[in-house]
Amino acid sequence: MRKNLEDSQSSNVTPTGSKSEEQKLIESVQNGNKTAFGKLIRIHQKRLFRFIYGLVNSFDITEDIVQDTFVKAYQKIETFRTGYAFYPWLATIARNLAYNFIQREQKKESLDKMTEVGFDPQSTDISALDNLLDDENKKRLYKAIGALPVKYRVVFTLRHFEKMDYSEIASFLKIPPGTVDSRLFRARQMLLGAVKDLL
Amino acid sequence: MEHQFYIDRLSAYFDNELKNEEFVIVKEHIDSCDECQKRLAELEKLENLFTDNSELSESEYWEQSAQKIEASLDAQTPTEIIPIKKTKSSLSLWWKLTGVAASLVLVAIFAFEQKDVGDELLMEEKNNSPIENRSASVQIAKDTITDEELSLGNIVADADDMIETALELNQPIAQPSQVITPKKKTRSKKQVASKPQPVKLEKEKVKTQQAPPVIAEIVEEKIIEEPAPVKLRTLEFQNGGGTIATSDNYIKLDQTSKVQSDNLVEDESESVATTQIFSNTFDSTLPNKLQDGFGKTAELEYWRRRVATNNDLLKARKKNTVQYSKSSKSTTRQRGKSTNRIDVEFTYKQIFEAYYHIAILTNASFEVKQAVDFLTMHADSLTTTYSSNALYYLQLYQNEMNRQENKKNQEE
Repeated sequence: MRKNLEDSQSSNVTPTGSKSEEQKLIESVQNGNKTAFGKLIRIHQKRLFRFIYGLVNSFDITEDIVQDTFVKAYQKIETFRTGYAFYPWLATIARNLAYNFIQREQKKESLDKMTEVGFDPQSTDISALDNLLDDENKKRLYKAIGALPVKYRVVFTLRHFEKMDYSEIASFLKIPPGTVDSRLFRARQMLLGAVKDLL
Repeated sequence: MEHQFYIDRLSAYFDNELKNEEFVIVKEHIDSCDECQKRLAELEKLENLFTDNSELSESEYWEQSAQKIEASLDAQTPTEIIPIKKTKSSLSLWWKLTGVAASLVLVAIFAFEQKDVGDELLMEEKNNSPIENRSASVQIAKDTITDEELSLGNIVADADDMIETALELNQPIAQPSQVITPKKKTRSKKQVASKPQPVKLEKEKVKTQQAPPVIAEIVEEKIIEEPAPVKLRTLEFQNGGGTIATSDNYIKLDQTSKVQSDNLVEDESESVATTQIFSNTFDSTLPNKLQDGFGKTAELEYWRRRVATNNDLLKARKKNTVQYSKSSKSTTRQRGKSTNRIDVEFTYKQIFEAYYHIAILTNASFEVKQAVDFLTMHADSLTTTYSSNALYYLQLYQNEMNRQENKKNQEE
């Protein structure tokens, strides 16, 4: 199953056309240029941070995961196939790390809560994120996402931030596509309730 | 159709994820329904709201963060393998040790086989159909385990092979081995501890020949008298004594059988433990039906009974689990209660497996739905203790469905 999963993930990586600036940077990194990787970090870290924050709902943990993702990507840069977009590859590493983290947290939950939604760090470091949100509406929206139960938040984040389709989400979370549908439906209902006045 | 039906599908419709027929039906409805149009508009606004307002603002933080990451890269080179922060745990070390131990065991297995120990006895046993099949199933299991990768994908494929082979053999022992095989595979997924089994099996065979203890003698006689393994097990239960209606009794009986199994073939004790769980309500006529070419109805009935029995067991055990959870706050854990926790987990696995087979075998859609829903619910719980197993059977079910679909397509 893990093998299949990796196959399906690799299909997310779409080939790009002509040799872009990014491709040159990657080739440069592959030839041992560390500075070029610094540029790649600066290009992608914001988007990656937003995505991972949506999954784990904690500033500190997001920081760690983003850092780990870049370090891991740097280590494995030789395996990256040039000609493909860099971000999807990065996001795949990141979301695996994030999902592992979520699962580990879930493991700590007692058996009695097995049917409930367990893990939710209840972002105590929300003020840290507030510094990166210049608008009251944005703060409210991130708060609304953070208030979703973890299983809804994860599906919503994958769909909304990463634009993954239902089958991709199902394959990544190892749940049936029908469940993705129902979770996304529930997540949207909750969000509509939370931010109705902004619509 | 009820209005709620369309409302539930609006989200998927909005994402363009409905299949052709459903899409047409829902679209037709939306065109004629004001409320649905309103709800759809709300979804669109929500999407736009999040798209417009999810960008994180420019800040010094990003530069600081990038520098921090760059600093952490300084210690690395692209060829070096580094541990990932926070994902490193005692578990990963444990896995590594297990891997080393597993490879040692493999070497031991091959070395042992070359010695041709107890050849005569093995030849004798091969004439006995149950044992022949048992060694066949052990061989299958061994083949599976020797796969170094142990990736879940391989296991799923192997499980299919194992079940198919077991069905092909269509011998008395094949039925219980079909019951047991997925369990073995599940064990191999968790850890490679099941590997020593073949070695132990052979060792014990030699033992029984050299100095057969009294109990072993009795059982061996029964093997000859009763080629049907299910019957054999029934006899063993009688030896173990008592019913297993309550979890207390179950543990007692388990201990009894352990004492016996010390004198028996080691591998057998595990399969006995497996069957013990549902033996108390298990209709003694069913296994015979199953042996007659695995009648589909009989097999289905068998799995249904297994669900029912295990559900009963679960109820009894769950009461104890609650006690266990309460006491788990204290620093010391009582052995009996922790055993109970393992029992609950095991019972769940039994139910998952039974539901998987029900889903495959039955044509009644409500029953398939019930089975799949049950598996999905537990797979979704994200509590890895159970969910990994539920997920496994769910995946197995989906694979089977895909396989059947492909077969149909090919036939067409």
